[in-house]
Formats: sequence, structure tokens, C-alpha cells
Amino acid sequence: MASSEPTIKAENLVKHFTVDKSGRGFLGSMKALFHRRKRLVKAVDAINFAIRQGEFVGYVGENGAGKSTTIKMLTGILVPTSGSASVNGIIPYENRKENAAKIGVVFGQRTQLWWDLPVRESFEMLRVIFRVPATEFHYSMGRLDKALDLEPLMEMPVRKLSLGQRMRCDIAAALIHRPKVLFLDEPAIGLDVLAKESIRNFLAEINREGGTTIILTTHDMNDIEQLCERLIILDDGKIIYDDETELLKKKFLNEKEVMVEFHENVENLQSLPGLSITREEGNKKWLTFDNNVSNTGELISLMAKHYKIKDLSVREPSVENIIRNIYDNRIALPKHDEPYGSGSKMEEKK
Amino acid sequence: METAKIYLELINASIRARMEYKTSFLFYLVAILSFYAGQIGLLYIVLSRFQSIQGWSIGEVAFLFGLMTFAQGFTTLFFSSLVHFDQMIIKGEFDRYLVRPLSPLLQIIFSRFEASTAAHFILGGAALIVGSQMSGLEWTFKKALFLPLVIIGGVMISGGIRLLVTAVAFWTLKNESLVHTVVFSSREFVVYPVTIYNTGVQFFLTFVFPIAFINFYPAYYFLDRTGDNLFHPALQFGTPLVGVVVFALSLLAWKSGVDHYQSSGS
Amino acid sequence: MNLELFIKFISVTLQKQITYRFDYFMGITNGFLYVFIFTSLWRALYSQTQIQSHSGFTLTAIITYAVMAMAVRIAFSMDDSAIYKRVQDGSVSMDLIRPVSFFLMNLSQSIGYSLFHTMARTMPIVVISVFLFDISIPFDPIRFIAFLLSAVMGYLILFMINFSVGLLAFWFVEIFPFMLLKYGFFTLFSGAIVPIDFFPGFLKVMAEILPFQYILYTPTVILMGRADMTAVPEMMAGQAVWLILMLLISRMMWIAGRSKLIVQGG
Repeated sequence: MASSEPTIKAENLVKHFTVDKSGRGFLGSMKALFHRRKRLVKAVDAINFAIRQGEFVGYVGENGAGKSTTIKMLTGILVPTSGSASVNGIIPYENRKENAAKIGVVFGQRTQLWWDLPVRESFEMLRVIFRVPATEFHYSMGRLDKALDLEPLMEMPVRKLSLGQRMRCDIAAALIHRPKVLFLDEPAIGLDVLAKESIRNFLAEINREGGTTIILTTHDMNDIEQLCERLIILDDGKIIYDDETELLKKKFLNEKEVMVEFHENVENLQSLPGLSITREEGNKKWLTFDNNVSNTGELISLMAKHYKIKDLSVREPSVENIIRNIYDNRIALPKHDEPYGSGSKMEEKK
Repeated sequence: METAKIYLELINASIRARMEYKTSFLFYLVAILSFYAGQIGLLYIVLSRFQSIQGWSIGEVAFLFGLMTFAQGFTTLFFSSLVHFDQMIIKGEFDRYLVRPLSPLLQIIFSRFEASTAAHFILGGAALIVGSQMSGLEWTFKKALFLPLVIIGGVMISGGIRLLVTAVAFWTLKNESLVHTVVFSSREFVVYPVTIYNTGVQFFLTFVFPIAFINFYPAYYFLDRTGDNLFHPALQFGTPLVGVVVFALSLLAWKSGVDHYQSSGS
Repeated sequence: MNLELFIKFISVTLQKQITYRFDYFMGITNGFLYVFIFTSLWRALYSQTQIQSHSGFTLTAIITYAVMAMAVRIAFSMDDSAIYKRVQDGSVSMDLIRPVSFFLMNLSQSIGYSLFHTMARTMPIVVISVFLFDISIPFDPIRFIAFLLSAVMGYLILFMINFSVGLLAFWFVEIFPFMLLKYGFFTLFSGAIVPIDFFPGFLKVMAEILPFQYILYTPTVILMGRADMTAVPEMMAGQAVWLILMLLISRMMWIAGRSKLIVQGG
């Protein structure tokens, strides 16, 4: 059955880099002129996953966790140190051009548009490069324009666009040839306050209706929450979570963090069920609690009743925090050898 | 055929991108000419004082300069986008060429169209004409046939050298000084007849870093010179062959540079 | 701007330069290459006549000049597109909100850059050249102090020329043509390659009108003993005049550019 074959597959995918350790200060850098020490970095450390057609996957992790390196291997920019990957049945780093024709890539940091040309001409160029027939091109452009409101930007040179406007154009540029797979590497979607909803809706739509497989790396938890039904979390080059986003949300998004600054040093803090102190610093305490068990109102009134409070702030946990929590405490995550999510099914097959 | 059309479109785009700064084209032309005017001024000062350089008269030196500059014109036309390639690597911009279904090298080459290189053709052409007039060069059918081959060979040598040093950026990241030295400064070597250098350097400029083939050896043939100490008389006709060899080597270097990039990242 | 910050800027730039070692070794090669080309040229020229001295330069003197002028030129290396880049990408507006003088900040960065080139490139090139070529520099502490003073003034003149050309970016999208123009003038009229004494009539007049000779020619002839000590004060007075003039020009351009930025938003 062709449909059961995953669209994107990584098997024991490994990428190592050697980096220079540079000396500190003036003398250190003088020494580095003649002698350099090398260090091996395991950017991606034997990861496995299988993504089926039509999935919308969030691929997250802290900076340096290996997200971009993975994306680079899947788009044919980098060749893995060992292991293998395939996209649409093509090995990207062996058949780079063939793969490139079938995927779309958006790098949030860099544009793939022509800096000095009006947006329209960049699209025109990409049409030629990706060999899109004229009729199909007009159809795609119409759709893209409707969803991303491109018309007002069409005659502007790219260098004059704001970051948010450029993002819209870059997303459109990646979709002109209607790729089966779309990689979004840290797209700054949330940046454009007015457009972010329509961008998200549009991405959801091409995923749902067009069956486009999408991989999104981002720090923006809102993007993940709204878009990705599946979430892969990387830490130090390893996959530490690969399952439904809902599950993680249930587990962690209900956790809230409150910073309370007291007027005097408080010991033996009055407690609520599910409350724990994560950090203390002088008269400040950081408390986390489960929103399902207690709630913020209860906590604040409890604190105000018993203590003199100088300052108080409530924070939703960020992805960074969740990942750190998972990693530090290994809270209730299945161990590596236990099967979880769809990523491990591949291992079973072997 | 389809692919050729794509590259034509790329050239077209780079011309249009250039047109965005339309005010500067003529100014560029003037600036490049004045840049060379400095160099020509120096040659003029030296030659008006000493009459000749190692037995090469003012007309013959002008012919040398003409061959070099004319080849330079095509080299700039095709390879000027490579000059800042190290920045492309450092900023990670090279990645975007890799996610397109085309050759990254051709994409880069066609990403920039340097129309102001017309200055090189004007200057080089003028120097060739003035040089052959002053030196009393006798044009024959054979010489006229050989000239385009020499220009093409010269472009392949200097373009190949550019590509070679550009590829080094895949390993060293920043290679501005290398590009500067090898591409621009080394050109200074062949402004003068290479016989002013010691034998070791002449050997180097002939067999290791063969830029003497861009102008010195072919000029020797065109000007019917005798008396200079060449390593071998056949070298006068070597330019086209040397061009092909250098360019083939540089393509290999580029290829392995891309491979290195893909295995090491940046 | 206090001294500590000034020195901090210098040291940061120095360290940035050192990061790329390959680039560094290439830089030395580049400088040495020029020294080699020009010494070879002068040897060839002097060997073809019976006359021992041209325009007051013996072969030893002209080779000393070629090496020293190149050494000073390399010590004066500046990133002459630094200001242009800051203006073009808009980061100059960040500089405006810093509580430091834009001019002094750039000067300190430029000094850091040049100090690196002096220590790491000029020194090795001078040492190698002393062993390889016949060079004669008089030992005279007063002369050496005069040279240092004159070199500092020459450096500041060059810095302000670069600064002013860089500021043109406030008014022009591309200033590369201006830089080429400046480079052409500098190559010829600074005496970087051929000392002003060799220039025929009208070129000599132009060299004396323009500020470029005060950048390289003046300090070099003071150092090598070509200039009579009695003539040194007058030469330095000429430098001082250009120093003040350039200070005024760069100041005015900065004020005009800044107000353009504030009024039109770049």
C-alpha cells in the first residue's frame, strides 16, 4: 500500500560537526592564529521519525537542539554523518534537485526573494525556476493573494518590505510550485499582528484541504498550539517527545508559574494542593501550580491573606520552560525504549 | 533547452535588478575608467622616463595591458558575483541556492550582471588598437583567428582562478584576502612583461599559477617578438589549452567544496 | 568619548581581525607580492640604462622607497566600506542614539584595524624585505620621531577621506564608484608606487594640489632620509593644512547627513 509509506522518514539520522574552540581575550585569539582546538558536536544524535502525508508537525527544541540541522538534511542542504532520511521517497542529499522540485522551504531568517526586484518579479522568477505552467501559476497566485493579501506588495522591491510583509511573500514563494511538503524553519508568523491569523488559517487550509505535509520549527507556542496536531521535541540532538500536541498541553500548559515578591523573607509558605516552589531568590519566590487543581485566584487571595506582598506576576509556561521541565525532571515521559507516538513504529518494523 | 531558458530568465532578472540603480551605470563606467587611469598613469610615468620595460616598448606594454583588460571584461561579466561569495557562506545565504532545483553555481553566476564591465572592453579594446599601432604589429589571418581563442582562454584562466579561490571559502569561511590577493593583486604581475621577474617566479606564473598565459605568452606571438628567454617557444600558443585545464580543475574544486559544505555545514 | 571606551573599541576590532587566521596569512602574502613586483620592476628599469640615479633616486633608494611606501600603506589599511555599510543598512541610526561620537567611534575602530595590520603584516613584511633587498634607512631618532608624527597626520587625512566618501551613502544608493575614483587617485597621487619626484610636469602639479601625497609620500621620504630635515617642517605644515581642511569637510558632511537622516528617515 503506497499510502502507508511515510512522506518523511528519518532512520537513525546522525549529524556531527567539528567546531573550533576559540581562545579568550587578546592572547587567546593570538594563539588561535597558529593552533586551534577542535570539539565534536553531536547536532543530531540518532533520531527516528516517520511523518505521513498530510500531517502538520511541530518540531521544537531550544536553540542548538538540532532543529535546523534536521531541516537542512531533509532539504538536501546537508549530508548526514550516518543514518538515512527520505522525503517523498527521495533521498534529499543524494538527489538534491529532484527533492527541491517537490518541497517548499521558508527560512525565517533569510528571504529567498530577489532583494532588488519587485515581489511580482521574484514570483515570476520562481515560476520559471520551478517550471510551473502558466495556467497553474495563475491559479496558485490567485489563491495565495487571496489568503495572504499580496496584491498591495506586488510592485514593491523586497528590500522595502517589513519583516512581516516579507514573511507573507516568502511563504507564498515557497508554495508557488505547490509542493507536497512544506518546511517552515522559524517563520516569524506572530510578528505581523494583523496578518498572523490569516497566515495560520491559510497554513491550516493547505494542510487540511491540499494534503500538504508541513513541518514547522518555531519558538512560538501559539503557532504550535493552533496548528500542529503532532509535536516532536528535540533536546541535545535527541528526540525526547514525539506525540500528540494535545497530550503535552494537557500535561504542561495547565501549569502556571507565579512570581511573588514578599516584603520580608517568608519561610514555610502556606501551601495549596499541587503547588511547588521552583526557585527562590531573596524575598522572591517562583511557584508553579496545576491549573486543574488550584487556580490563580485562590493562590493570590491566599497569599494576600497571609503575607505582605510587594509584587506578583503570573506567567504561562513557554516552550522553552516546558522542554526544560521535561528534560530536568523527566516528568512522566515514557522512556526512550518504550514506544511512543508514530516515530517509534518505524523501529518496530525493523 | 528548458534549462537554458531558465538561465536566460535569471540573467534577465539580474539585469532588471541592476536597473533599479539606473543612475549609477554611467558613473560606474567613468569610475572604473578612472580607476584604471591611475594604473595607466603610472605606466606612462615609468615609460616616459625609461622608454621601455625589459625591452618591451610602450606600444608593446599597451598591447599586454589590452589583452589582460579585455579578458578581464568577460571575467567580470560572468564571475563578478563570486567576489563576495564568502559572505554568502558566512550569512548562510548559500542554503537558498541549494533548495532550488538548479545548479547553485549557475544560479550564483547569473545572479549578477555587471554591465559596467563595458569599461573593460572600451579600455582593453583601445589599448589593443593603440598598442598594435604603436608597436607596428602586423595582423595576419592566422593571428586574427588566434585572437578570440586567446581571449576565451584568458577568460577561462582568470575565471577558473576566481572559481578556485571562491571554492576555498567552503573550508575557510572568510577568504576576502585570498580573493583579493589572487584575483586582484596578482593581476599586477602581468601588467609588466614577466621577464622582469627571476626565473623562479616566471616558472610560477607559467606552470603553477599560469596567468602569464592571459597576456604575456600570446602577446609574444602577436608581436613577433624574439630574444626573450621563454621556457619553450610552444608556450606562445598555450593559452587555450591552459584555459581548459585551469577551468576544469576549478570546477572540480567547486564540486568538492559543495560536498564539503554539505557534510560539514557552516 | 572617554579613553577607556576608545581603547575598548580598538581592542575589539583587533580581536575580530585575528579570528580568521587564513585570511591573515593571505594578507601578508598579498603585501609581499606587491613589494616583490615593484622591486623587480625597478631593478629591471635601472639595469637597462647606464645612469645610476633617476630623479635623485639610486637603485637602493628607490627600492627602499618601494618597500617603505608599501609598509606604510599596509599599516594604513582601513575597512573603507564600514561607514557606507552602516549608513546603507540603517544601523547608523543606532549609532545616533549612542552617547558617543560617531566620528571617534569609527576612528577607534579604524585604529584597531590598522594596528592589527601594522603589527601582523607591516612588521613581517619589513623584516623579510630587509633580508631580501638592499635597503638603507638612516639611523636618526629625531627623523624617526618626525616620521611618526607625519605618519599619524597622513593616517588621519586618509581616515577622513574614507570617512567623507563613506558618508556619501546618505545621498547615494551606491558609493562604490566613488570608492573606485578615490582608489584611482590614491594609487597614482599618493606616491604609493612611483615617488612624486618621477612625475612629469602636469602630473606633478596635480600631485601637489591634491592631498594624497601627504598620506604616503611625505612620511616615507622623511623616514628614508630623502627629505632634508630643513624641509620637514614645511612638509608637515602642508599635512596640517589638509588635516584641518578634511576635518572641516568631514564634520560638515556628517552634520548634513545626520540632519538628512533625521528629517527624511534615511
